[in-house]
Amino acid sequence: MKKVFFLLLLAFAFNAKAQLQKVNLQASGLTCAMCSKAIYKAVSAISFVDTVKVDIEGSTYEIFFKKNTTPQFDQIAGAVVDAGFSVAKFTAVVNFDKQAVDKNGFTSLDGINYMIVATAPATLQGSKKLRLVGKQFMLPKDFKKMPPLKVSATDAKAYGVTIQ
Amino acid sequence: MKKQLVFLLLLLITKVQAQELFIFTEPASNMPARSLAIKQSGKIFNGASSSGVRHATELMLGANKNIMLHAAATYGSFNGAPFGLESIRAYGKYRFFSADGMYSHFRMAAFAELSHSNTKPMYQELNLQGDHSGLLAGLVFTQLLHKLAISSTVSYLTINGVSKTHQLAMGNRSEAINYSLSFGHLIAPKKYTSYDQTNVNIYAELLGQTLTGTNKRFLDIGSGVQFIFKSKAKLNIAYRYNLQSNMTRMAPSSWMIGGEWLFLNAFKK
Repeated sequence: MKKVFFLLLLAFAFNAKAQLQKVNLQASGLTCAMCSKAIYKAVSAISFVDTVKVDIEGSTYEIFFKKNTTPQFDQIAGAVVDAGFSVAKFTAVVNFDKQAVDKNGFTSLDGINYMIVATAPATLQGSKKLRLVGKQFMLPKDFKKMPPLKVSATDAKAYGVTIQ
Repeated sequence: MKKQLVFLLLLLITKVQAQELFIFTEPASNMPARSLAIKQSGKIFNGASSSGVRHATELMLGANKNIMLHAAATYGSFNGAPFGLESIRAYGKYRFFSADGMYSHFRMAAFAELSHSNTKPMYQELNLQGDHSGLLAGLVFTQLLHKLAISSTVSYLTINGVSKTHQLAMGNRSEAINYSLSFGHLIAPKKYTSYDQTNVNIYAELLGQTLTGTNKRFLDIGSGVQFIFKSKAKLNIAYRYNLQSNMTRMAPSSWMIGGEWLFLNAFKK
């Protein structure tokens, strides 16, 4: 009984660890189903990707990850580019539990580093939508509108994000 | 003229979706990286100087996001000659510019084609689709604008080897400029819900050639319908006919039917 209880606890602990819930990706530069399928197949083939739900009409992809993996966002964007298209919008849905953010807007969770663009709260709590900021993650016209980062996200080996 | 303008405007504002998987020309966009496709097509020509069939088998490869390569062989029979291999050719395209918007893009690519043929056609028209050995190089521009796909190519063609000797011996030219203007749009489905839906696209393509240093030219229109099954197999049915020409050609019109199968992620990264 004790063992079962312990296992259950462990399961909860692991479940709680999956704080990156999913990624919502919108691709640009396409209108055909064959093009959409090329993106779907390219993203599905990535080792840490579990399942992909697609809305062909809206050109959006809901991406879920395998347990105990550290998803690489740039690899997902790279798969879209390799399929011949671009990323218009890239949003990570992350569950935070009293997550501390430093004065530069830097925070790290499950091996993924984030750098919050503009004013960042001192702590993050609950489910947040983090939109990735970067040339490979948005349309050129959206990228131009973005405020500059206090500290380069590349230098901090982090993904620049805005809280949606 | 007014009517045509209204039609064009209607095309621009209605919610039809564009397709750039043209039948007679290549768009500036490439196949996805590490994908493979096989294309099998047959043409039936019926003309005063020549009639017959020509088949082509073509392998296409998305080498990376910017480069795609083709290798093809054509075989057929004209004017009762025995059926046999006519030509082999290689084609490469490099996409060097992309500006993607939501549901739109503008792309540019450079392409080159090399062909070896063992046929000796008796007409002035030059091509690397089976008739001549030679080299072709050009540019392609493709715009997806308000859901209308428009693509244009311009290329320089020079024939060599036996093809050149043969053409010059007949007093013909061995160089040409080719140009095209293509339009395409999707007519079904009205709403995308799954990759298994059959897509129907219609195309109209203007295809022309001018022999350099002469006023010899032709202009054709190729119109076709394309079915895409399960987002991976294409069936093309097209009819090409001559609008205007002052040079001798294989045939004033031809029918083409072809199938293409796409294998995504055919190669590991």
